[in-house]
Amino acid sequence: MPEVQFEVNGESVRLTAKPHWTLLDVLRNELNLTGTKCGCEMGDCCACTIILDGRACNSCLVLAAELDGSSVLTIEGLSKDGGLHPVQRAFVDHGAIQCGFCTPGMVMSTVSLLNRIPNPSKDEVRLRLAGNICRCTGYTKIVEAVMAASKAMRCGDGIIK
Amino acid sequence: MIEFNAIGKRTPRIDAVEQVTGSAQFLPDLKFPNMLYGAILRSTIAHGRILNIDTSRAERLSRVKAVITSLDYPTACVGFYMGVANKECLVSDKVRFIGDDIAAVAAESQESAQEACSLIKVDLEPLPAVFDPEEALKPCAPLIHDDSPGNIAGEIHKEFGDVADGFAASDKIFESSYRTYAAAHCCLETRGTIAEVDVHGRLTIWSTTQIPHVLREILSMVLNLPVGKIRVRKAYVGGGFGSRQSPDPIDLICALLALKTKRPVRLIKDRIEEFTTDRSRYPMIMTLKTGMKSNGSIRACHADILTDAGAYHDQGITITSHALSRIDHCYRIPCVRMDAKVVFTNKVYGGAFRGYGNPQITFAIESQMDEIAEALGIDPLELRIINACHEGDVAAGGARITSCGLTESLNRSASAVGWEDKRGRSNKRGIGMACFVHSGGGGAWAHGGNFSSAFLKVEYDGSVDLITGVPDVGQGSKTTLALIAAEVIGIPVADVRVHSGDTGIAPVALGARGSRETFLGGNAVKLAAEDAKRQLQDRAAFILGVPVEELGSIQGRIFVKSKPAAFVTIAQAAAKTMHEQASAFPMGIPVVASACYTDPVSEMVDLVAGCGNPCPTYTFGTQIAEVEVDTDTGQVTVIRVVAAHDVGKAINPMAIEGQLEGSISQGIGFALTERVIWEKGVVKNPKLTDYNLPTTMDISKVISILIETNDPEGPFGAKGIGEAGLIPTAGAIANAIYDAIGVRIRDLPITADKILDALEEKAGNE
Repeated sequence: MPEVQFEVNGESVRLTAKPHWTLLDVLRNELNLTGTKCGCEMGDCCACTIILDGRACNSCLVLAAELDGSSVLTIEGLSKDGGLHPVQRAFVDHGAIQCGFCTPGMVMSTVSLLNRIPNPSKDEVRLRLAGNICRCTGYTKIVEAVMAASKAMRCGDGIIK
Repeated sequence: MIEFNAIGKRTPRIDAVEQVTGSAQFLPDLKFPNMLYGAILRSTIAHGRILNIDTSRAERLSRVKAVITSLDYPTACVGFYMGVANKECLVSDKVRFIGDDIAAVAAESQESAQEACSLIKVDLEPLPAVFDPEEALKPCAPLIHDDSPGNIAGEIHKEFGDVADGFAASDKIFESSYRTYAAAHCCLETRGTIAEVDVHGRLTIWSTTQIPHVLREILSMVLNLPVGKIRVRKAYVGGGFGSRQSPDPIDLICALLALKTKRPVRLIKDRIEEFTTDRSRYPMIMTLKTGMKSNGSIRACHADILTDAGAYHDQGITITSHALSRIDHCYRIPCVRMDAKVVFTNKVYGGAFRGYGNPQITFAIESQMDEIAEALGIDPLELRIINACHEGDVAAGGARITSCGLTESLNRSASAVGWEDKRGRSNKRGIGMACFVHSGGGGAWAHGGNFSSAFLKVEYDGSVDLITGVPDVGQGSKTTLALIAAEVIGIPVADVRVHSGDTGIAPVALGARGSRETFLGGNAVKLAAEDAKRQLQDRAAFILGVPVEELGSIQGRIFVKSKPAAFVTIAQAAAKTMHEQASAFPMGIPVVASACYTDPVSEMVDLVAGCGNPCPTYTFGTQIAEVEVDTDTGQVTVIRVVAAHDVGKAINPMAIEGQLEGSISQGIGFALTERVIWEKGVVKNPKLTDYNLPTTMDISKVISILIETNDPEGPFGAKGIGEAGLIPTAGAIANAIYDAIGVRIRDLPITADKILDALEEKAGNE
């Protein structure tokens, strides 16, 4: 069984991965990082979205054995020192959460989106988040929150005042 | 106008930070020492007699700790209505749908549990199966339950007023049939249960339930354990929408495995298992016969429903009855007749889904209203205004309307959308409207009364713990109830902690269902908070030396109204001790309150034949959908939906908007894309992508108009809003499609192929 070494939320992890383990299995079962949710195990819902080497991806579709040398950011690693990331703040303030099960994945997809496209149009947001299923909100407030987070992050970076 | 301190303001969920940081724990996130993993062996055929079950090979696996079949627990049935429940948690004689529960295993790992299931040998004698409700009624149809001749699960026959007279007095009679199919809830979190037994033999069930206390009651009945030995708890729950208002066999199976192994057992359905074994929306075939005067007033209506119950009883009869009951109090109809048959078929059984039968019947009613309007040459808006119910009305079937914003919702939605200008342009863009009435705060009479209860304690720092049996499954009831407590006591909502969904600490409530959390739960919280406030004011009056009547409270202070500078803080009042210089530990004499609210308005109504007022409040509204139809592809795009809803009083407008936006998204799915597709009892699309759920690409602009009618019995005038948004959406979309391209589709979902077929037929006719 392959031994892999990778980074999760800035901390080094070394483990022996069973061949069938996914990154989602490792996060939830081995590392107790249960903020990443499992909605389908088929890549259909994106509830398990994390950021792997800078890109959002479904952790249920990544085999743990492939992780050697990678860097993983999960929802637990997003906010530091008890504060909230601007995306998290926007989701809270805009009522973009109901049951909250899709929220960690939705937030991670949004963070990845805004890292790549800091100033997206609403249509771009809709396109980029189309894989993340939410059954509660109807998405309206999620898109509002993403637009607000985009603005806040750009203001924070000094791009827009 | 009364100024409110907490309610009526757009308030983020009080638990949003937990949810957005991943620290909110859902059931699969819970871990227990020594936990076993459960799995269920399910039927692979739709109908068959069980000849033998051989579990010996499975039992020989060292990592397997228990294997159970119905032989271990004979005839243990679960269902929402235990009086009619006929779904054995593990079947004994026959399997009746693909996915029916045959045996269950608890093992050291999920893989071992699955492996053990694959080693259980089941000898089944296949029996002829029937999948269509009309086929199931035929004399030659295979019989699914020996005690249900003709496959009839139940019948409803009610008549209020003389319908024959009503039709005789009508100028024109309209009759047409409408059909809806199964839609799945698709909660993002699949259903799960974890059961554990303590050293006293007390059982704790962690469940993704909407009904902790009712589930406890059901488990108590089936397991023959006193309720004091069962504690039902929920973690965060990833959606419900009605699916979790029924107990599931896994709740009971998990309990049985834990009782047998004396170890915690976890049983969580995977996505395909959820699609193939969880209860979806009841398919209905609905025929409406409506007698009209030529001036546009409705004289009589006869509604007839055939409901496909699937393989077992759950809520087929009550949901059909609830659908029928909506016939007579959206519009004034002097006489109504309601008939229904609920029929067993060899498919997974249906259940409650947001609206409780109302989205189905409202699609039929509102489609027909537009058909009638066109035939009579009356504008659909005008036809609805002519017939709309009003405050003070008593419906033919007994519903008493104590507040009603229907006409206002019609006028305001029409004005917001520009009804007159946009209607009938026939440029492949169209608009259509649909109204609805929905029951609020009901559905509880089967439990002997319509009530909710709450405990409340004020800590000596002035913060409050609110303990309620009302479970939050995502709809935001914790925040709504916190706002009510904060408003009454006069503290910021951030100072209220809500503990819910645990029968071990919370007083009885009847669940998150029937749009009842705000109305019933809110009233109970309001009563408890008022009691706590009285206690605090008595103390403040003593400290300040003024009569209680002269005090007001706001933002954590109790002050003298004539002299606001004279005040004590809530914390000072709460921390009041027996002696002024009592101690260095000023814990205060506790302020505790409890209340039970029993709705004084509604009454027990016999489902099958009775007349009366089953619910304490009724919500009304109008939605207008604007669509664009691509006549080459049949694709329908919903551009926007104006949703004008009578909410009574908006306790948290942001949460209500969220409920409406989410409901409307589900309504668009119900109208256009969502259907559980069966072929010979096999679900052909048991995945989220194949099922065609709405995504961000399907958002339509929702314009919410909240109409506050101040219900006389609601907490601060509020009604329930959890289900309402989904109810009229499909009817509004069907009518908008007709306005756009002139074709009337009478069955849902209105998929592209149906549109293209109808366009072709229309072209052929022209």
